[in-house]
Amino acid sequence: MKKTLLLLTAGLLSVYSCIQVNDTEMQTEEVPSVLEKETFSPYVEGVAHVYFSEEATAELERELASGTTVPTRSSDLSDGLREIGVRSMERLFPDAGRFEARTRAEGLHRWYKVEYDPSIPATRASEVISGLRGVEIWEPVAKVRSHAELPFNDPYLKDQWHYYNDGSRSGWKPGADINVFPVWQNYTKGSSDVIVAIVDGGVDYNHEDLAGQVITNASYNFAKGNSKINPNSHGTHVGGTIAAINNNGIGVSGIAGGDAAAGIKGTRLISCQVFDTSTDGGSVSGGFENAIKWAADHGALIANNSWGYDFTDDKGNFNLEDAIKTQELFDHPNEGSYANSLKSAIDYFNKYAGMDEKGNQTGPMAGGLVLFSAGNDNRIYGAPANYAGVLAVGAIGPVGGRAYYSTHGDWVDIAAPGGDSNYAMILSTTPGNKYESMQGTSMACPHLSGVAALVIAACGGPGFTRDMLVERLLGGVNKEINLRNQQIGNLVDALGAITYGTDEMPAPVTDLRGESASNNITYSWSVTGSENNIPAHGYFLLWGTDRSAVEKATPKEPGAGVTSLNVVSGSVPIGGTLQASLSKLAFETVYYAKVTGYDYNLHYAEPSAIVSVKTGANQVPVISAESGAGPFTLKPFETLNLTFDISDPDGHTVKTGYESGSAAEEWSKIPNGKYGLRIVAANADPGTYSGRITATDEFGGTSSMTIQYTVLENQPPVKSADLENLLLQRVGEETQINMSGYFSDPDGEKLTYEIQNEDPKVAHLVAEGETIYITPLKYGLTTVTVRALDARRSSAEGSFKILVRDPSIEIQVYPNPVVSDLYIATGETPQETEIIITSATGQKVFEETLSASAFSPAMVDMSACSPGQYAAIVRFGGKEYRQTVIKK
Amino acid sequence: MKKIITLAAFLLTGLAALAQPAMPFMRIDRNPVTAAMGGAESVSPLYNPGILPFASSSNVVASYQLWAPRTVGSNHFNLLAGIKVGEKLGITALGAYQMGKPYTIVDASGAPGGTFSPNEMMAGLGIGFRFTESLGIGATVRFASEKLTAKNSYSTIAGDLLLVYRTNGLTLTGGIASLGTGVADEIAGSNNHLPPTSVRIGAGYHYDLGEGIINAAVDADYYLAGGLGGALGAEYGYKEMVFVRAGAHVGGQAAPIPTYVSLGAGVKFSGVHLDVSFLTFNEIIGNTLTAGIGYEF
Repeated sequence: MKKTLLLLTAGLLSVYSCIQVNDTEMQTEEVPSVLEKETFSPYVEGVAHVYFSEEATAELERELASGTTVPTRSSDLSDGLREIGVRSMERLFPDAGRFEARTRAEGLHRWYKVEYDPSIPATRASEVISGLRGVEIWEPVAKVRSHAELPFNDPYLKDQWHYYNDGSRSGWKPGADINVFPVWQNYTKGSSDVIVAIVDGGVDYNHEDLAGQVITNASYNFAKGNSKINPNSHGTHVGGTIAAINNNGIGVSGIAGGDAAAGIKGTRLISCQVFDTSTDGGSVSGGFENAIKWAADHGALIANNSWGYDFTDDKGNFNLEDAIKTQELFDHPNEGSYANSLKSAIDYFNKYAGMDEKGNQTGPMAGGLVLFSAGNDNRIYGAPANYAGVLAVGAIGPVGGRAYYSTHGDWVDIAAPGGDSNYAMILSTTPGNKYESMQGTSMACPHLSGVAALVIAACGGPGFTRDMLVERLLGGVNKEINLRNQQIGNLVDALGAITYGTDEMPAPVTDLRGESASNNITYSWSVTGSENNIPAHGYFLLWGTDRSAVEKATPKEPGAGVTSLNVVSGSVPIGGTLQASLSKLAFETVYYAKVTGYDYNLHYAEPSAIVSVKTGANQVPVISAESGAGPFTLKPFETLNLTFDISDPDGHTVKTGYESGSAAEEWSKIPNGKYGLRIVAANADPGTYSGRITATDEFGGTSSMTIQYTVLENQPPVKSADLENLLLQRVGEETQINMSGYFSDPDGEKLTYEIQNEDPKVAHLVAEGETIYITPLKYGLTTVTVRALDARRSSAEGSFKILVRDPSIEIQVYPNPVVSDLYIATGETPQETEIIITSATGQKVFEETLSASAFSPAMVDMSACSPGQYAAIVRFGGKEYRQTVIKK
Repeated sequence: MKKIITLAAFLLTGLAALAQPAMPFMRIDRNPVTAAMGGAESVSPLYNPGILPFASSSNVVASYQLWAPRTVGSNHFNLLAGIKVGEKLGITALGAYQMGKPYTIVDASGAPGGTFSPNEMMAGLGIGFRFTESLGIGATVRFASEKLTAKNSYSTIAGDLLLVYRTNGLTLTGGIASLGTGVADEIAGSNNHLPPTSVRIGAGYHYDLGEGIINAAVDADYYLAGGLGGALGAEYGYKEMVFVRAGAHVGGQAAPIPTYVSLGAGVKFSGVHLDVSFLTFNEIIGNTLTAGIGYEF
């Protein structure tokens, strides 16, 4: 026995010697990411409800029945779904078994919940999907946040899902949080009388969101044995979760961080630094036991320990034997062979925290609470968290289940949000005024510390003991989040802990009233409170068409013919108005209703008086044409865009349809929720047509509107003036001609132009709108034919010539050599030109005075001349030009 | 082809040029002596070998001619020879090379495309025979060619046949000139252009004044293609050393050489003679200058 004890002791010493250097780790699965601000969207990112046509639904059902999660066969639909990164599709109203027939009869089987890439904005997804064949309604899912007005102005509070998880992101579980908002609103925001020791890395007491929260003269660096606290990310993150200052307009919120705007100071911290960095950059740790005892002697009521033993060696091998031995050590009470210095320190803290040296209670609680994180190994060994003298804290992620890394076991007492990098982590403070996300049971543990601090602040005082605190924390857990068989206890619930064992039954409602619109009824009433002015946690609205049945109904037993609707008060204060809406009721029917309030522990108030409301008749949808309903007259090239607002006065869902009168019409849903009719006259022959819009509400009420329009006969374009020839003298210099001066359309249509260039090497031509841009490329002559076209491609034509000529050339005699026809081109305008052609020996073979210009050159037929040299003498404008001409 | 058709479509005016004989440069007088006498060359022993047996000496001339400087402006380099062989025979030879001014090549759209310098050449050989004291005959054959473009060259062979009658100072001649083969141009169907063939008659008169002499000559051509042409000229020589000359040429519309007036002068010493001529009163070939050096032996 002695030998066994010695061996065990040696083993523990071995573990412990390592603890001080390497084997104790802060239990953070650290995946830091600097917070980026996000654009707020009123809709749940990546989720929408889509209502498909009967045909599309049948096609979807066939595909999804084959085991796929996203349809692939319908190319039109699957292309659109791919564009928004659709990940899964499932029926919004699942198969209802024996009620499936009536589910289908109501068309509910055509509603699908579509999960897509959350980075795609809902507006963009709507644009893509709404236009797809088979999609009749696209409905983004609004975030359910109405009862959760953010209580503080800390800008990053909206990202601290761990305090209030509304399930607004894909896969998240609403309520998988610590339920702290109602506590802040109705009970406490923390108290400076409550001190929490952060046995961890140093807390950055200069952080903007922790300034003044750390009692510096009670803090100590046990790792280095001095009083200098060196800021550490882990310790600062833990501290921020507990005590970051609330409502200061900066950074994050802390669970017990007070309310700076209201002058309420929150929980204070003592930084007991047991992890630090050595001068050579390595890690140094130690003083764990001493730190806990120090905390007890310096006013702390809670010791937060987000660390545990590490049984993994440098090569990553898990030392199971050491883990089992250490687990066993801490499984036993601190006595006999299981006596241990750390356990002794814990026992000391539990017994003496909050007490003076004479045993008198000095703070709001007698005795202290030591909290340990369970560990991040996803194993069952978590010493020292398994010691009975502490509360061991496991971790959940935003989806509600145990986080993938959380160490677990029957010894884990309670769970808290620790984050999950697959979804979202915990956002808190880090040194240097930064805010980062981390995950781990290290992050879960301070959630419990913060809640414990709130409980002490709300319930503490003379006579309030550590055991009372533990009873509230463990007794008031959230059982709605099902963590059964996950071996991390139940989820901590701040409101549950504070209200545990209390009776805050609210006063009865006295002002229940109802208003009907069509077959919808909206009930409203004022929130009532308890004698302690605690608002009702919620109300049950009991309603039906049988008055006597409603009279008899209770929240627990509504009875036949009565429906119960639970309405949670959320952040609505006493005297504020709650509303509950009933829809799809029978038309023109009297409904009876009453409400019964209850507190968080389900103490029910007396019901209100019964009110009766009669529903109205169904009103058909209203189709309003914003640009008038016609009839319209369109010229053959015109496009008419009409916008229609289709709504239902009763707020019912409306299905729209359109019967086309011709191929000119395009009916579509446009992004602003309205409908567009586009009539492209060019797509229809001249004539008169009618299209018909129909709108049908979900109860069969139908209205329609006929759009009549006439497409006029097309009149082809006409040439209004001859195109003028163009003499260009600078190669590369662009010239432009506006064609509107040469062509017009009797219909007033804007024409387009096509160009045929006889010699593209002479000039490059481009038509843009009504302008033709001409760039001379080389000297020469080209003929350009311009074709003016209307939308129906009726056309008119005109031609002009472009002569590109060296500016130094005043006449052109070409071609040279000549075979038959010789041209003599002069200036831009025609003028009388004397032309003499002689042989080289002086015989005149031609002599005439002709009209000539650059574009209408005079021609001399030299076909009769023999091959040889000739002289051309050209006289015009008082000048004479002589050139040699070769006849071949 | 399409381009030409298109161009023709917008012509305001198009007129045909007159027909014109091939290789008219064969009719250019390259001897500064006869050139100064209106080109009356039919009684010249350098052109008509039938004259040579009646002549007192042989003659060789090299000349340079700047032809029609205001128009075609070509440079002619010529060599002419008339060799008397005994009392009955005479032989003539002619060589000429003409360098034309470079012209600009222009395509059918009016776009310039480089330059080319045309050239022409001619070579001839003649023989004369004297039958009696007063009657002889001369025959000449000439080969003429011209290169007008890098790819277009043309040539022809033509000949003269002239009878000669001589008595005292009067010489009469007559026959046919420039009778030769045709030249085809590039027009499809091939137009065949003949050299400037003519029926020619001529006369010359020599009058001795003691210290001086007067030579007069006249030619008349009837061109078979239509048209008439004529040349008249005279020369005064002082002591067989200094000569002045004048003449005129008349050319109808169809004649290859137009109307002009010519002037000239020459000096001779010990058989070597230098001569120059100048053509004027013609807007095309006016200012043509011919200079030559010869040796008479």
